[in-house]
Amino acid sequence: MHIHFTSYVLDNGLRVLIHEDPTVSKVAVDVLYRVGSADESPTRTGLAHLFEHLMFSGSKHVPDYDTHVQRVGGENNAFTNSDITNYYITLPGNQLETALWLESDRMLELDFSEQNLAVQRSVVIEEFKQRYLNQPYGDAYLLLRPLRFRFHSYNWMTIGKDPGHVANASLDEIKEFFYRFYAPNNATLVIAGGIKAAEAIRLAEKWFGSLPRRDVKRPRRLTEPAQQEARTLTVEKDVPFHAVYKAWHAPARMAPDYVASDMVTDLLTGSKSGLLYQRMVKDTKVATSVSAFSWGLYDPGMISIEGRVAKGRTVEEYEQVLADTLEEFDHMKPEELERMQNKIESMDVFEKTTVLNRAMSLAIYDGLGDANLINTQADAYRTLTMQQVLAAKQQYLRPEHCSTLYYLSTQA
Amino acid sequence: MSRRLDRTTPPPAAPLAYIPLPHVQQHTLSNGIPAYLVRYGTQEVVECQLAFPAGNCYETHVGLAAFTGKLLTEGTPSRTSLQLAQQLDDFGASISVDTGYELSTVTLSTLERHLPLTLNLLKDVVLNAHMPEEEFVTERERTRQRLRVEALKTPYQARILLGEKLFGAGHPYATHPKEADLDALSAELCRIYARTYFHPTRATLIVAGLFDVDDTLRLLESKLGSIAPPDAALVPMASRAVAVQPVAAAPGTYMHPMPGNVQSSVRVGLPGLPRRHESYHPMRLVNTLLGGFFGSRLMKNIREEKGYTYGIYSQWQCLQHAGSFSISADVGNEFVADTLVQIRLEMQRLREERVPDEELDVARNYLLGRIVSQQETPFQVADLLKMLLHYGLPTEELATGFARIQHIGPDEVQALAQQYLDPDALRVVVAGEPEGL
Repeated sequence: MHIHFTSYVLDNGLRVLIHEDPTVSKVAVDVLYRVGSADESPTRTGLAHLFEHLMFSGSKHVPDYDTHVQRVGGENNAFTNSDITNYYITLPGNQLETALWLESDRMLELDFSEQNLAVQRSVVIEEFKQRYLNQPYGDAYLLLRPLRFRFHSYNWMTIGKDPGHVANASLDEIKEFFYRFYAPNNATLVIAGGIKAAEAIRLAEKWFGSLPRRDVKRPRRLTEPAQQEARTLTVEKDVPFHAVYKAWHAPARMAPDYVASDMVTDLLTGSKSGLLYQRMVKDTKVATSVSAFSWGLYDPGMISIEGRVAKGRTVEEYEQVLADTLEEFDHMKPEELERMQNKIESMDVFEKTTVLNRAMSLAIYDGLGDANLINTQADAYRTLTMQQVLAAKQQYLRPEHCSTLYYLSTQA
Repeated sequence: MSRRLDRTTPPPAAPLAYIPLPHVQQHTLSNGIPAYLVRYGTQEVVECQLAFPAGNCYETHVGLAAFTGKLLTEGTPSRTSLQLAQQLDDFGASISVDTGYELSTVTLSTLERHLPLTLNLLKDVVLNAHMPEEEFVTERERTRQRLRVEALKTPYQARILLGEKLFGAGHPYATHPKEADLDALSAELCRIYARTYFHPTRATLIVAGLFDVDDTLRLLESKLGSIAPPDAALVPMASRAVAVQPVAAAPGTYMHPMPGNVQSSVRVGLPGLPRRHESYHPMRLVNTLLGGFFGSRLMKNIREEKGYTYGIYSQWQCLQHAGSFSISADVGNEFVADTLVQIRLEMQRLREERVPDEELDVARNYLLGRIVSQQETPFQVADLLKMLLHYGLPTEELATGFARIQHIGPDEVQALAQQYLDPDALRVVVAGEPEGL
């Protein structure tokens, strides 16, 4: 399905994309800032995400962002990852202006207060505990990242290296972060849904047009040198079963062979019919779960495969079946690829059924440099050849590029 | 020159209008299967739901319904588990099974052009799934391991314990399989369960998406309309939620100690109401105000003022025969005691003080906005319709509920809180290692 959109750039550098869909009554507004945890200093990690929380704690003229969204029947949220911070709202179509008023005010300036910072530091530390520390295997990726990335700032997860970094973040650091990264010339605004494009651009100009351009100083990210030999880290924890987490190199999200590398992980575990799922969970039963991810990072990033070892089976057996299956991958038949291409094509259509998904995709693709990927990305998967996929697999899933975290059970 | 922009005054708000459900066409296939068709949406996708009275309320062995649901897509005499998965992928389609307390659904999602062929797969699954012994054993081992990991999580333990305190251990609304329950299951039990409860002639059929209505009706008739009823010996039981009355434990605090955890899961609750009760919709608003959204009193107090938790939410859950009110938060061990004090305080405040109009309107508009917003896709509409049919309610009930919520005033909110939200009657559950309790 083709998503029609128009794009503008305001004088202050803000990129504005508008997608009209007269069949829906709601409107989705998405504001993406090109800043993520990989733009942090290694000594103050978790700051980008902590900052995302503070974006809801009051701006220059509006002390209560959320209330105004709720008052008109809307809903909002946000997320941060290594490369971007993304804010989104859905609300009734006739309430577009409320969203633009709110988003423009917090792009202008925040109400920086010690009290708000103290509360959000505490909230984020509880989030850190809830998601990473208070559940079995929760800290696995906190351990895997530094194994895979020794120099590049992908070394830490978005939540940060440890809660102490967030606990010590100061108001001055928060202010510095805002003026450095939160600027119209470092953002994309998407308006999608039951609105008229002319009215939407008029309102975007009205609320955002006068915001000052800022001097965005993005720190240079270090280049991760090619890994020369496999790395391992073994931890023993009070969990019931062994687990194994592996990371390899991966191309940057916009590299020509990214799509092929992503297809490799799709073919491994992207469906119940996936080769790796079948071999490890169904056929040999050496694992009770296994999944492969392409992380889609802006800079050269990572592919990971995680799995839980079945009770009574050894880590060595798990490793052997995984290695055998990755070898077997080289002999995969073209119909397996075609099958996954059909699935991806269909998933693309299903994903586009909500205006919020369309707005987010437009923002994320625009952040990557080409909003029209919303229309062309599915074709890129469709036209892949088996040769391209195998080349990506051989290029990226090399044994000497692998970093492995053995998460061993003291109970098993 | 432009006028100076006023950034302090919010742009004008407009009242929220109800958007009626799209037109629903009702038919009966020749073997009696009720079929509801909703032509809706902008993409050429279709969701085909078969909704069954099946789940925890209809089982002789704990976990049998859910386990049968997992095995439904693990093979038929003509298709192995892998072949079924491959054929679905060939069409870019999926079949998912969701088992609940009293309603379970098998859903086919597909591009419209593949509906005729993927319907064959759906039919094969619900009619012929044969639960191969090997798949049963694999799935049981995976479930066993998953349960053992879940058991280490404070939210899991607290949720289960609260269910027992609100409904009584063994009540179908509070049943969760434990490892030992899995030992009592067998592939044969699952086979019988599927034939009895997941037989297509016992389903309600809901089809939503962008399709030609006449063509689709003909298609449904040809694929599903001639299926004969199941073996007469396979008689489904009456819902256990009718036979087994909920027995709540005495108000009080119930601990599930889990040393070594850096947070504790706080879950508190009260017995509630069945879905058809007249206070269902009004209490949705009271619940929203107290803990149902990000602007709620609980969230403002416990997260946004005190920073005790990443999130605190309350839930007003109404099922066919009973319901519950509950509040959940995962909080630092050192904050548990005061979190409980604040929860009681907020409940008490709702009963003693009249809620300010402004605050009530924010909660009201948020809730009305969600109601309207949850009708965006054909899949959401199918889910709404399924629930109405399950509770035996007409589609107009959604409009009536919307209007009801529009007109609730502060006095009624206070009266409802006094009637249904008594802090002294709370069953309090804490899993973890709380300090100072």
